[in-house]
Amino acid sequence: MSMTVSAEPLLRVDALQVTYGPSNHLVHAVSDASLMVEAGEAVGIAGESGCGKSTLARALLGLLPERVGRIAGGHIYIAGQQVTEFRDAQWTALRGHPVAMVFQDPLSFLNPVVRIGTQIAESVRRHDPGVALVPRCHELLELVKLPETALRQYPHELSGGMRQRVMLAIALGCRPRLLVADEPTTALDVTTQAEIMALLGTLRQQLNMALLVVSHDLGLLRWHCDRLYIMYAGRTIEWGATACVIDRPAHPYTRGLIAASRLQRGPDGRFGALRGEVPALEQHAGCPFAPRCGDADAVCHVRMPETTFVTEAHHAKCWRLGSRDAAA
Amino acid sequence: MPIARAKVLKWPALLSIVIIGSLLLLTLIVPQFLPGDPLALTDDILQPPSGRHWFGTDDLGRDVLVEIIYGTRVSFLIGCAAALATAVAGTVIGSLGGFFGGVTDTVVTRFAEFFQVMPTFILAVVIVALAGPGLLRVVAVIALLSWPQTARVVRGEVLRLSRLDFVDALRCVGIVEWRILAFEIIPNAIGSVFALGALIVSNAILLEASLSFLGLSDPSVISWGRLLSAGQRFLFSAWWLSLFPGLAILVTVLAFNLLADGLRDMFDPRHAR
Amino acid sequence: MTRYIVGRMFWGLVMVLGLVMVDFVITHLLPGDPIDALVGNYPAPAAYIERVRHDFGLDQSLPMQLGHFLVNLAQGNFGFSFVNRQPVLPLILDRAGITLILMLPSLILASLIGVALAVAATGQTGRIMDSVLTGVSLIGHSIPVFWLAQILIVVFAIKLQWLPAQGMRSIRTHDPLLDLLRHLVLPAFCITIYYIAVVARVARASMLEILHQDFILTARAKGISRRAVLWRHVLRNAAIPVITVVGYNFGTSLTGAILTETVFAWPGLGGLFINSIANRDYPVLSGIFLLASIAVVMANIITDLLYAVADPRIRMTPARA
Repeated sequence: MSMTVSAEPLLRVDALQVTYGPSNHLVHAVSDASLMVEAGEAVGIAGESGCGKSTLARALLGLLPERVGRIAGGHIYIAGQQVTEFRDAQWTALRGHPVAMVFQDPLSFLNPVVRIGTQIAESVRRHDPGVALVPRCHELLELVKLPETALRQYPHELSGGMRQRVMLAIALGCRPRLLVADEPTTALDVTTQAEIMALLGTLRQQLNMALLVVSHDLGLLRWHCDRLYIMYAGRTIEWGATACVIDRPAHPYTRGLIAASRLQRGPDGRFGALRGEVPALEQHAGCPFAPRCGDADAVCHVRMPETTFVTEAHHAKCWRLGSRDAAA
Repeated sequence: MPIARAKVLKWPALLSIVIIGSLLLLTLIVPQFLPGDPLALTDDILQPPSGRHWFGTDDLGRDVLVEIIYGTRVSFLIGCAAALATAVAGTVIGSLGGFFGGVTDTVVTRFAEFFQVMPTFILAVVIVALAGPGLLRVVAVIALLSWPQTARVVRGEVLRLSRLDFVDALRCVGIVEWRILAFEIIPNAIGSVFALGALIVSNAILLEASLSFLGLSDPSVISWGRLLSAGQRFLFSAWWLSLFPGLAILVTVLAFNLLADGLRDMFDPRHAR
Repeated sequence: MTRYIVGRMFWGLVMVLGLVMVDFVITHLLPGDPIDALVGNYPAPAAYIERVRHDFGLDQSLPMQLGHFLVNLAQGNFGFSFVNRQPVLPLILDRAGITLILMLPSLILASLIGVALAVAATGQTGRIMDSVLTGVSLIGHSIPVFWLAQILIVVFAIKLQWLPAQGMRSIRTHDPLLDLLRHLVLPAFCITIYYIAVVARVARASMLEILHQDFILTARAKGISRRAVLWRHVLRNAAIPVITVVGYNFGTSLTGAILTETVFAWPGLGGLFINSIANRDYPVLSGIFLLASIAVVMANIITDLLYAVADPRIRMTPARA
């Protein structure tokens, strides 16, 4: 994985904070998230439910619920342009191209009363104004391996896997340079999951498109992403090349997550489990994982850890890293 | 019990209760203080509103304000009686359909649909016109028109409740079907009827006003609709005959509609979950 | 889809038949003698009355009368109105047309305004418009339409003299269309008020629900404009309950039309209806009841069809209660 940045990264997020709700009842969905995606890369964001990864994904396109969700701090740069302060009209110009998004459960994410063909054509018309609609739609269907007959059908007539391909076709119609996928396979059965992820991989190669996949399924991300970010309680707490993060996890949470993800069995042949629960999304001093951490020190409860350099391609936020062997 | 789940009423509902309460008070108390027969014919024919007659007088010299106060009785009486009759009919029929299902349910649903398809107002007018006026008849006709709505709501609630586990538990203990329906299910379903009840009252008042406006009510009884039909005759000369009785209808119906909204919020099964 | 249509039409037919029975029962079993309408106060000899009875088959048994009734109906013979000295059906249809001139534009206008109000209430100036909408909705549901009619006449026709107070046409006019429109304004307003209230309330609830649906997020993620999202995605879905509520309330609008016509002396079905009651003109009453019933049944069927067209999930799911 090349570390020299020759051009601006496609996506850069610096210390982002996202809040929900009125000022007397604030919920900090994202407290401190930073990430970067280069052109053509495949990056994954992993974490449990409630860690803020979906909120982060939506914030990238300005799709936070209006009047309720706000970016409270930090910056987002898309293709070098700062978009943090964007109003909705400015976001509209940016959505689809260069950044497109696909979502989790295609049945509720597709308009039930409009034909598939029309929904795909809408994308094309918006981002490819001059092009002939029907051939382009056929092209897109071919890319996602759907039959032509799908154009005339309605969402409820298709299977879950086919619907997810439709979502992909809609996103691809925007000619995106970066595709954000928010839990793209969670609503699908295991075989279909594999198919969709394989398809994403193929598309990435064919179209030289960057991929940002948000998922709670570490197993999935492991095989399809070049780099990985681990999120916990609204913060990115570990990140780096996938192989590094999975094989030599630095943060105690990551170790627990990997153990619980059935990627490997423990010494006694059992799968691991993480003690405790995900904390409520409120601000407190100190490392959010401290209450659950087996290695927590006094300082862990008091101050938020800073970024520690584990290797060149691997970082984590944990006070314990200074005194531990990173290869352990 | 549904009452236990009730939440605090918001201000529109409270306002409506104040209005309804005041009207009731007015109609019960004020007539006690009026000397003589306030509905006697006088010579003050068609007087515009003044210090002596706040709302003016009608073509028989009677004070419009007094007539309105008397008319309140009829409206409330008919409204509440009709609401009660509708509630009873609708609850019985709806719960039978919802609880027993199958053929009974199909019959009930089709029956209700049939009544809703009928041009009910026309039917009401025809019945009252041909069978003669009379408060009881009007109440019966209103109940006849309004029961499908109640029945549908009750059927839905009963259907939902019948599927809950406690019903099977009761059956295991050996409680007879109709006892389950009457003593366990219906009391729980009643909450949804309260909100509808207020709505039925407001609809009944409007319907009664419409019928008496068309001259189909008991001529010996003062009702707001009848005042408006007199107003129709003197539209060009005595506008006060139309304005005030109609205003009374509007305020009363509005109050009951607000109350219905408030009750619906209170007893909404979705909020109570 | 065909099965759906056929099913609905079948039930529609059953309903109409039931209504025909009800009609027969009402007009033949309630007190009041149709012969009175013919004879009036004239001291006719008993023999004459007997003969008239026989001529009209009123001395036959009820099942026989029912049989004749049904046969006549099937042939399009709705009877004869003694009062108006015409066959009933053409008379009613004529007047019904005039009522439709009043009703249809009102319904369409009310639906459009109601939806527009709902769109405004969910837009940027949301809060104010929302209160306005709730207020309009409450008033619309509570106001007696005939009273509103009277007030409008007093204000606009009598005091301000901007618009005519009664009727459908003026006797002398240089522009018949403009004249018709001027006469239409006030009565149409009365009918629309209730409908705007109903439509606005349903449309608002529907829009709020749709706006929170996931597919709106997908639409926004495509980068299409807010207006495009509104029209192509939100309204396409939110309009569906509006269609059903407008269609299924057709019977109520008929009521409103009748009452409004009475106040404005609009020469439609309403006026005929009221007169026939006063004159005990049973054939006309019976005919109006039947026509209104058939109209409501047809309105329901049409609404069902429109609903199926608008929401493809309906026509493709085999089972429907």
